[in-house]
Amino acid sequence: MPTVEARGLTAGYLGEPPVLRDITLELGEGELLLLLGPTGSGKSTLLLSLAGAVPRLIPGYVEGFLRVAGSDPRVEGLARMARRLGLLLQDPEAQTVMFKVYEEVYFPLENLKYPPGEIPLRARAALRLVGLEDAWQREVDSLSTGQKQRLALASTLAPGPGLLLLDEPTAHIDPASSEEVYRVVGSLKKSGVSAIVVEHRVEYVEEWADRVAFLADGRLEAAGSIDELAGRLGVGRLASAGVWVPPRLLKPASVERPRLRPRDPLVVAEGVSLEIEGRRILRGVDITARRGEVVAVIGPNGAGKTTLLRILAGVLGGWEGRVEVSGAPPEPGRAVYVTQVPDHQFVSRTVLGEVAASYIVQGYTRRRAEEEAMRVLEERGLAGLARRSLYRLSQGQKRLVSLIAMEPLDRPVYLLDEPTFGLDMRYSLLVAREVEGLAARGKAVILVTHDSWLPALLDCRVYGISEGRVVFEGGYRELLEDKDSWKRIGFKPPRMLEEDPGMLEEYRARLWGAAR
Amino acid sequence: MERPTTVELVLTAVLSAINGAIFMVWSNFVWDYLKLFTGLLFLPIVYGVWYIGATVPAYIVRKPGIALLGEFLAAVAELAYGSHYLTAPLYGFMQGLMSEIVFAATRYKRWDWATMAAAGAAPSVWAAAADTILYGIVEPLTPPQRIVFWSLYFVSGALIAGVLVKAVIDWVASTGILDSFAVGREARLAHSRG
Amino acid sequence: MTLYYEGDTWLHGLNPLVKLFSATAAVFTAGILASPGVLALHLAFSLLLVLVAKPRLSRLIVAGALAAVAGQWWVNAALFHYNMGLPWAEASWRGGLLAARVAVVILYSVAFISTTSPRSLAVALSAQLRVPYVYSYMSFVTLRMLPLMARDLENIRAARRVRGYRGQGGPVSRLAGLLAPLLSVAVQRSVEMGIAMEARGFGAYPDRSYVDPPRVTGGDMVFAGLVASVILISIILYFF
Repeated sequence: MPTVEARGLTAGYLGEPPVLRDITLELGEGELLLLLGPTGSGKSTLLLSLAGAVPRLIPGYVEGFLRVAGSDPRVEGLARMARRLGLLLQDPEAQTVMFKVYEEVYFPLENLKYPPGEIPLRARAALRLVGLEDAWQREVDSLSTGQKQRLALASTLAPGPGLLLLDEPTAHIDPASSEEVYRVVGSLKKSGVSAIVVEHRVEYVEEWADRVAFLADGRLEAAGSIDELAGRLGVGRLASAGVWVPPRLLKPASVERPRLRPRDPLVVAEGVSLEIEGRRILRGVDITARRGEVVAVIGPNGAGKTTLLRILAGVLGGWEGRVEVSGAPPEPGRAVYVTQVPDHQFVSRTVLGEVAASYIVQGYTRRRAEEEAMRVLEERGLAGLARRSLYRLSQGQKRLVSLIAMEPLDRPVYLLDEPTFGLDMRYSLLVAREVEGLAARGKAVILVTHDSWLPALLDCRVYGISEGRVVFEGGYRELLEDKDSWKRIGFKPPRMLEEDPGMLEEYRARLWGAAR
Repeated sequence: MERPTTVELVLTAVLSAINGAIFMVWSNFVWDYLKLFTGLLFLPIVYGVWYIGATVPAYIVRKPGIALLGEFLAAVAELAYGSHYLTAPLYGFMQGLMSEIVFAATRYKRWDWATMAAAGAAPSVWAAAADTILYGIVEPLTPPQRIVFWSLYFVSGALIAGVLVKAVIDWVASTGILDSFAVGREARLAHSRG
Repeated sequence: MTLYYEGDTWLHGLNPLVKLFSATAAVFTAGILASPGVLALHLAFSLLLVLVAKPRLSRLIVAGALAAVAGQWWVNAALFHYNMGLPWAEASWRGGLLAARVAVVILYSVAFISTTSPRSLAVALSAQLRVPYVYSYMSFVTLRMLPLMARDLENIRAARRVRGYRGQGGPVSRLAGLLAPLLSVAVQRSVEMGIAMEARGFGAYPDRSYVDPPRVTGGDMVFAGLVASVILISIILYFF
């Protein structure tokens, strides 16, 4: 019997048009399906409907024939389906409830009323699967984000589910942990465990996927591999839908890229050290950023990257060393600081209000500020978004607005914290182009990023930070050659470049081509 | 009347983490130090802040049990933050219960200014009584002063935990942030009508 | 920041509900029967418990506690004198009695909080009192969310400071504008966590199994008996 059977599946959220239209899907035992599609296309909705989260937990409607692991999830509800299916989401922080590692794995088993005698054995087995057996007694807080996600996976696997639903599980974690997650899922296929995976970073899952499907406009198009899908739908269609099409399928384009001419240094940091509550966060960090250039700062979680940005932004004190931003010690108001989560910096209700706020800060009256803000939006072709509520925008739109809203401040230094975080390919490229534009206009841009393709695309200087120290400094090409540094800074280049660093220009040409 | 979903319960717990932090600052700093400066008589005017643990999540989710759970959890969070008042969870439970009773009386269907003001003032029934009996807070006050003092508990509750909370949450709901909850649905209806 | 620490004092090993109810009963006794004798007895007893608990006290906490007690004393003494016309000696005495009540609450609190983990309390509430676990386990969520929300707030404030934005409009708009980003993140986390919890069987059944449920031992009986005796003596002292 197939693990998942859906016919005529139509689903959506309360009071809104359907996100899924008449979907037909069948998944057998031990099969892994990779689900691709633009953000907001309903991939998550599909997973949540199969799991039974919609409509009983998340208000919405699910119509059609649905049979998952032997039951109708609408009747069972998510909680009762837990024994038979496992759900792994993006953010490990939002998935861990308990304080000790073993407690987290006990959690589902206790909820499902397993006999107390059986629970510790099952828990140990689950932790062994993900390689966390030694962490049994540790506090969850002491784990890295990648380890937390593996813990979440172990917790999900503890009751021995037959179906796994994964919704972008690698979005927040390092490459090594990402590979580990899929290795575990892949190895479970042999025991008959099926999986549906929503994943942007196609590279990690490709080798495990038995089938690939594209979800857009509520309709599902399936194929045996991503190459087959691209052949049938056209690479352009996939790329413009934001799918991270593997570069080997993209056509290189000779696109005019702005020539960046870095001039005088606008940000100079020498020997910056910081200790917080006895812990050394930064140890003697040296970093420079010049007018008209982009500099990338990479490194594992907790290495001190965001702390460094905060110091440069002038909102964190108590550090030692010498720092100059635009020729003077750092203080708020010198640089532009864009947070990792766009919502964090919103001060207004509408897009127009958000851009206008940057004028108001400079003393403009409300009326003048809004006029100027409208002009800025019109220049970008975004006038249509002016009256929209900020918080109702898509992630990509929020990110663009968060960048554009800073323009009126007219500051020469930009500090960006993970600007392409959680974005699909289309918006990621838009943001990359925006960043390049900033440098072309003479700004000094320092960005922190997890995404190994971004510095490749921008071909910028890279600082690699590990445990508060700069362990690598140089151009991206040099980084590709310096394999010894990779492990320390948690770096893994895109597969195409890992195999042949000489392909950098080719890689850039292909990606920029897709940006058009 | 529906039971709260897991998501709604978790939202209440998360809001309580935020409210508990506010309580902590309010208890350990505002209340204790303010006492040294303002007269004791008018101190209760700030008391309403301690009831928002009940009214904020209840106004958003609009289902049974939320006011009680929210206020109790906020008190637990306050303790975890380092407050030194053991009586906090008990106060939290009883104050939450008072608000809950008001909402239950309207069958969880009325969420206007009057209901919110009443639900904001209700916890004072416990707070005023407990502070008086347990801490003897009104001993140095004359009877007419005591009347004023106790009234302020209720006024503060109605204004801060009732009226102010409704105004602020309504503003936030208009942004769409709370669309998946009961208050968001009301906001969307108003939005599409107006 | 938080008072609780993992230790092995006698109090640490006791059942959290027994401790909670005993401490609350003691606090109420002291508050309601607040005669000098009763207060003296409870001050001594609670101090003894604190000594057994051996809490790790930061300067901030000690300062806060002392300020609370001193504040009570001073404010009430001043009121007794200026407001009710009592001579200073009596005003100080009565103010002192009120301050003693606060001191008793604080001492019992410290003894209880430093030796009881909030998690064990949450488990005890559902395992022993049969409070539906979907409610009591929410305390875990609150406690886990505390540091995450604190970090979010830091980010929000940092972003605002750098931009130089101080808010505009009336008090409601300003307050709401400050809270909106925090609530936005809170909602997103809640939805994800709610799904993640239910996907692991949370709420599937009205009750659950416990690998390590809290027990009531002989030691608990001794402690409860001790507290009961103190309460009994308080009653006698009050009517004597």
